[in-house]
Amino acid sequence: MAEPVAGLRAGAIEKRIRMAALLVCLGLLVLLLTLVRIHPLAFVAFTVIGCPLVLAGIVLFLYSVVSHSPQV
Amino acid sequence: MRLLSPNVLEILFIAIALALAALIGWRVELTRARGGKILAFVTLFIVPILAVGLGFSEHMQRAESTQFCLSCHVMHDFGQSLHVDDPSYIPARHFQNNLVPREHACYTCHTDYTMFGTAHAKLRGLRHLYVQYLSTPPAPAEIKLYTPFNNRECLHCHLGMRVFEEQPKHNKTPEMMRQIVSNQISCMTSKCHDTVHDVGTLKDATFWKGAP
Repeated sequence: MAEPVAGLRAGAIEKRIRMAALLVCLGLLVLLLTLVRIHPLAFVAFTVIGCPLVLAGIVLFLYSVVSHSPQV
Repeated sequence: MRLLSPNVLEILFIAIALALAALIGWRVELTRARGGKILAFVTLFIVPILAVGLGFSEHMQRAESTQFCLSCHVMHDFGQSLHVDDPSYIPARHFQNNLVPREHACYTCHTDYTMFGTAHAKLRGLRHLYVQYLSTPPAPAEIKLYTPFNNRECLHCHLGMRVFEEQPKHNKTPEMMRQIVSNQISCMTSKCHDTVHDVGTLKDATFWKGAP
């Protein structure tokens, strides 16, 4: 019974990592786009959209890592 | 708004970070192996933090550029005033003679040369952003400084210059130079250098064609 449980847990972790990667990707894409033009709105998009997306991805990734604590 | 030639290394770094994050998202099973775990940590933790830091630094530098300041419509006339063909217009004289770097012309004079002056100027910029997009911006001729222009901002460059310190008009009395340095006599409002942007008079002005 232990192996299917471990497999399920690994699946959930991979799902979270995939979600984290998606958030980081979106955030970095916004970052790239804001560097195309010099304009105050580019700075706003960077701080209000890009940074939160990247940070959410990082937090989700870290959470997926620490939530994967081996059973004793 | 003109397209900027981007800082290639920063763009490249963020593009690589994006590609790596996409790889982890697409082939998440890579993280089952030890090497994949390390790659995921670097890709989803270290590299994005560096990318955000680089992006922030780049945006802070761009916020100091003349192009950035003049990108809001309400600032157009102030940009025009840099091209007036009349040396009595102080900003025009500085801009046209490279006395301030042209690509940072606004920021050079409109930042306080104090410990937190640059941060303070950028915070004021956020307020300008609010007024521009979420409120009603005043007419260009109605725009005033928050506080009277401090001589400190002029003296940051002019103090110690021979032509400034030996200028007879700056030494009409033995005390005059001390009063200028201590901001008791204003450079701008003492009927000496009082023609600044004067955007209300631009319709009658002629313009220098030589500036880029």
